[in-house]
Amino acid sequence: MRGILHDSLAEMLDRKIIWIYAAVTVIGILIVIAANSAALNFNGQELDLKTMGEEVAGPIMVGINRFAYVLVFLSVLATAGIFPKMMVKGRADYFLSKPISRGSLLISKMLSIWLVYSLLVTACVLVIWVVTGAVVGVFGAKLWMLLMLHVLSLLIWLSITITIGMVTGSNALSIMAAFVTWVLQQILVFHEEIGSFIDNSILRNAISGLYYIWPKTIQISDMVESAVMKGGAEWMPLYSSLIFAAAMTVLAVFIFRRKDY
Amino acid sequence: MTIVDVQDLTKVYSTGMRKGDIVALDSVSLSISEGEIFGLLGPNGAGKTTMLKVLLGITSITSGTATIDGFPPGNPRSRVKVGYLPENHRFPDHLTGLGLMELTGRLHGMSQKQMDERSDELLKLVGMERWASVKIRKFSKGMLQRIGLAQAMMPDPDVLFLDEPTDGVDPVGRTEIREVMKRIRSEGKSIVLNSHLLSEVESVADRVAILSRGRLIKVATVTELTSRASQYEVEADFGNKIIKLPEEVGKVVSMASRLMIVELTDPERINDVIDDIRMNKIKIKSVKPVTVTLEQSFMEAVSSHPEGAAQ
Repeated sequence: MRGILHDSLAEMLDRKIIWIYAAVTVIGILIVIAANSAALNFNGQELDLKTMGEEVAGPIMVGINRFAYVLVFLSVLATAGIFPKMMVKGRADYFLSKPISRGSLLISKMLSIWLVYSLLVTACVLVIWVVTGAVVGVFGAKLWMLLMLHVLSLLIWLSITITIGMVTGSNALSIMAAFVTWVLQQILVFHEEIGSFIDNSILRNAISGLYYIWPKTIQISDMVESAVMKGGAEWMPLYSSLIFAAAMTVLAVFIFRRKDY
Repeated sequence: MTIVDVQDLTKVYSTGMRKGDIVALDSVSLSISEGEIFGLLGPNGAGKTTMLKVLLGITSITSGTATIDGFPPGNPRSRVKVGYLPENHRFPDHLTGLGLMELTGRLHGMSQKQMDERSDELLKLVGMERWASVKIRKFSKGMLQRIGLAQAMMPDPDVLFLDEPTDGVDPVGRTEIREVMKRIRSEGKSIVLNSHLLSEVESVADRVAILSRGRLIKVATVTELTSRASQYEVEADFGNKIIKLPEEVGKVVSMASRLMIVELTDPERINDVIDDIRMNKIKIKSVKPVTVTLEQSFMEAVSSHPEGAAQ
């Protein structure tokens, strides 16, 4: 794990991907400053957000939540090709000839990527949170929950992209799999509405079942907004998505242990 | 003591229903001892690289058994004291030379102190100490081979698998790599050497295995392969004298005023030949077995087994 973690960190720094995250964060800061200025002149009335207190805390966290979602999306794109690249002909020989089981190698790589990119996402979110607090004068609550959910969301995405990347050896197919997962979860959110148009109970139950099995990263992101705006959140999307991620990882290890390079 | 043992090893690659299967290794059995440089020879597609990949657990076994230091390839413990320089390697190019050494050390569970000491020693040994902080992607082919050899030696391996180690290396570098191999052998460690350069194998290997189309066609020492046990070269002042040998001793293959080549029915019969020459009052200067190059021997072995047949 130590070696793979160092390697993942060195790889991230070499790719200079950190500059893209920095650029996105700077854009986020500019949006915060611009939004703050616009709010101060809202309807010709001068508003002092600093005196509004908790009234703006919720919307601020919703904004930061959307920002974190963009960062996770960016991380999915940035990491999709890492495992296929690690297992290209000539490089796979190097890693597979080391005294580590294939299962450990795959899980170490997945956790290393997760850790490195989670730190990057966390750092960017913290910067935005601090800047927003400093500009507006209100520090949004439930930051720990926001960070935890987005970091777990990244782990769920990684379980998909690494499995597909390992099986196909393709960066592009790995990203496509993530996109298909995203589209399907958008559709499955409306499983009850879709089910009401279907007479066949088996098909209706299958769609409903697929909804509970399929990862729900969009709903995980929505959990933060529910928590800060409504005071509570339904945790089922997180639990079921983590079970899906665990199943995908077990499948990935099973296939990886049997794959010839 | 045997460090690598292979028994009836078969590897079949499935290429899909239409194309059929490819038999990369067909019932190969061999063993490699401690302190031995073992050459793997064979034409392209003979199964040499597959043999290394199977032993290292990179490719699975279809049937048969293989062990390194008593552990099967699927067991990570079989690779603890193993170094490997793959053919056409692509080391992580975001690393520096030193970074690669450290990654290798970490993957072998070495401490930072061990890694520092070993990296310094090995980078000096392969002449790469000046390039330690340069990214691998900037290395030439020869430099990549040198750093590849250094990383393979990082865990102080008991057995080193080298697949075309001198590929792209200049003649000076080749000589240095050969010296490194001899040094490793002198430390009681084994090397499995896969090379197309037969002269290189001939100069360092103790034993070689010749593979053809996945089959093992010969395992012998380099001396056995390069000598004609039944043929002797006798250097003497024959002048115009003609030597004739009894049929039960052998026959004269060629005869000149200072050199005679004889083919004997039994190598022991060389004493009869010497006696015969001495009886003719001819002064003998030297008697030695006729030798051929490993390349000649290899070509004979491969051409005499076009389909590959175990011997």
